[in-house]
Amino acid sequence: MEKLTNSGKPSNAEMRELSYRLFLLVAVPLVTVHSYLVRDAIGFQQPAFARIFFWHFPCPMVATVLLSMATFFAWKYSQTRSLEWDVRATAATELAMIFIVLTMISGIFFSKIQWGAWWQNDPRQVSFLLVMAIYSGYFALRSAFSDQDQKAKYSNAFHLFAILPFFFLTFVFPRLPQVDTFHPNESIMKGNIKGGYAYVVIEVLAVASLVTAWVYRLRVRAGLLTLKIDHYGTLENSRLDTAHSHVVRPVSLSDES
Amino acid sequence: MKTLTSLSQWKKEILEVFRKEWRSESRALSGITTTAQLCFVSLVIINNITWFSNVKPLLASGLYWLILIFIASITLPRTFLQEEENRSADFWRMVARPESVFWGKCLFNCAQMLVATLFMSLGMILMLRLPVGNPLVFAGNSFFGSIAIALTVTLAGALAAPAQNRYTVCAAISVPLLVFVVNLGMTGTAFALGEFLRGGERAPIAMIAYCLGAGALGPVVYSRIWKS
Amino acid sequence: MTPTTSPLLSSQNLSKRFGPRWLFRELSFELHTGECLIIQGRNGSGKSTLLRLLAGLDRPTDGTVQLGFDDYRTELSLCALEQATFPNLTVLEHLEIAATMRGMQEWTPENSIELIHKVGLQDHTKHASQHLSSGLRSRLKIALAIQPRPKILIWDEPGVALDESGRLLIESVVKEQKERGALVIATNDASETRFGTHLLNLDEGSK
Repeated sequence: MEKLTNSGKPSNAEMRELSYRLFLLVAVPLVTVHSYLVRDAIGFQQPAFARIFFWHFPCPMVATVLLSMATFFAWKYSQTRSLEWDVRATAATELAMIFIVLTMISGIFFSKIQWGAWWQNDPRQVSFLLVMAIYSGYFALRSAFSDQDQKAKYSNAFHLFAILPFFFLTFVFPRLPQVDTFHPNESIMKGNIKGGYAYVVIEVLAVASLVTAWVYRLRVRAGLLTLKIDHYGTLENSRLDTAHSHVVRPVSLSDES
Repeated sequence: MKTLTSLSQWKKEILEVFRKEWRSESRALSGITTTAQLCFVSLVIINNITWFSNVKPLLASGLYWLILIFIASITLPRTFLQEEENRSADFWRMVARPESVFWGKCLFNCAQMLVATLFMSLGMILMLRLPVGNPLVFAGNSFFGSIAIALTVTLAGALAAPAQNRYTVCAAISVPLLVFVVNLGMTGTAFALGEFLRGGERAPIAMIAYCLGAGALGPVVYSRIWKS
Repeated sequence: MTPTTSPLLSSQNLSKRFGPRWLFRELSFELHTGECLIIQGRNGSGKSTLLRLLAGLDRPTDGTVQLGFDDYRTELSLCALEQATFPNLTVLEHLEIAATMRGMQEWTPENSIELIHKVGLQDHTKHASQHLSSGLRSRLKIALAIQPRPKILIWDEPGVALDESGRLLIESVVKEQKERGALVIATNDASETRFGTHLLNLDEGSK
């Protein structure tokens, strides 16, 4: 938490944080209530529970955006070797994993309620499970290094390669003509989701994006602070010895060979 | 000393890395022995579990690709992991270019993987009495699938080489990356074995596309972890 | 150090820490032709780490290392204690591989034999490196390091595992290297300090 300024007024950052929280405090309940007020969808075994779709639909979209962002940050890290980009890449990947898990959970419940089975072997379901498995490797790789620089170097390189199967699994595989899926590919684009339903979908997507942006910012701030604490903490430790501890200079030798 | 940077120099460097791997391997035989042993044991296990029943093409192709990725994830990363274990990785970092090292090791892994695939293909076709209805799709799919696997595992090996418990980490990152190659491979192989799968005949083409993508990305990613 | 010519190797405000511990901070120096920097310090003071930073194998926490040339493969060599050779390859094969990878097109097998003689490995040309003693392996590492006639030679504990003739070899290598470039040597051996034109004591930083 940031301190109050001397005048007692909140800083700009605090105001921004406060407005974020206020907006979410109002928006989340409103959208939730709205999602219950729209009429039940037709064509489902349990029409009332078709509302799971509202919360299922934004999750993979947000996860996809976050993973694309993480790859971009990984690229920036590999260009600059600045740990700040690594913090951003990690934050985006962690959040993406949360949304992938939410996608899987909401999808599994939807599948059980509407189609009678927890797992349908649906190509989109499988492809997202694979994406989850691939990015679990990112965390496995990070945990295998104790040095922060090495953690960053190798895990971000992994990100740069993982984009290839990620792209294929997310954008190509489910759209192949031979792939039969329960997931409609262009429901919103083609106007298959109409009226109140479409509004709720857009509202939930907007709220989910805002919540993600807020949590992402907090996670990045925490990560950057950890970096700073690590840096300044050690500087303070070294200052305990002498003012210029560990500063060394070469000297010229008079007796040259 | 003057240095060459032409295409022929790249070729020379890549072949030199390949030759180094070949010499080391032909003298120690540890990698080749492990691969042969794993192939052999896998065939024996498949033979045992399918003793009393005829295996359907889809299941056979699934088993085939599953074994191939496990053999690959265990044996292929050695080329990078052993360098870090022997502390000879710095030798390359001081005298070589990253792309040459990557391609040289990758070439060796491709050769090793192709031999393993050939052995596994013949073994499975003979032991399970599988009818290969479309040999061209079968061969093309297996060939490009092996290269796709070798490319991916080579890079995974390079990424995991400096890590703590590097062999486990390498398997943990390479197997998930390969699952979708297995999906593709399974589709093509099952089609070649007579299972009707829409688009099965196009699996080798998708495999080529993956190989091109991995081949383009691999050296770029490796050069990012080269040195500091 | 001589300011009139452009340096072969220079470091600006080089700092390195492992976790909470600084090894050294704000280290700046320049190395010109004919110069030899001796790095001293007790175990764990960061000598080998500093050499790895200078060779580009490790990353500093802060600061930069700059080389006065383009091709690190032929102009910069590292002869380090922890750097190993390939166990199954012979002495001759090591030199062949290094020459090809460094892009030394004029390098011939005769050059390799000559170099092998120079470092005293003539009786072990076709021996695999795993069958060499640690002293002979050190000679092989010296051969690999001086093969391209580099402008900068970075050398970690030159005298370790070497016998009397090995020490004479070190002396001749240092002399030749000073004529064509510069050296950085990490050592605590007083007999090797005499090669230096400059001395860097890493222990001084923690006093």
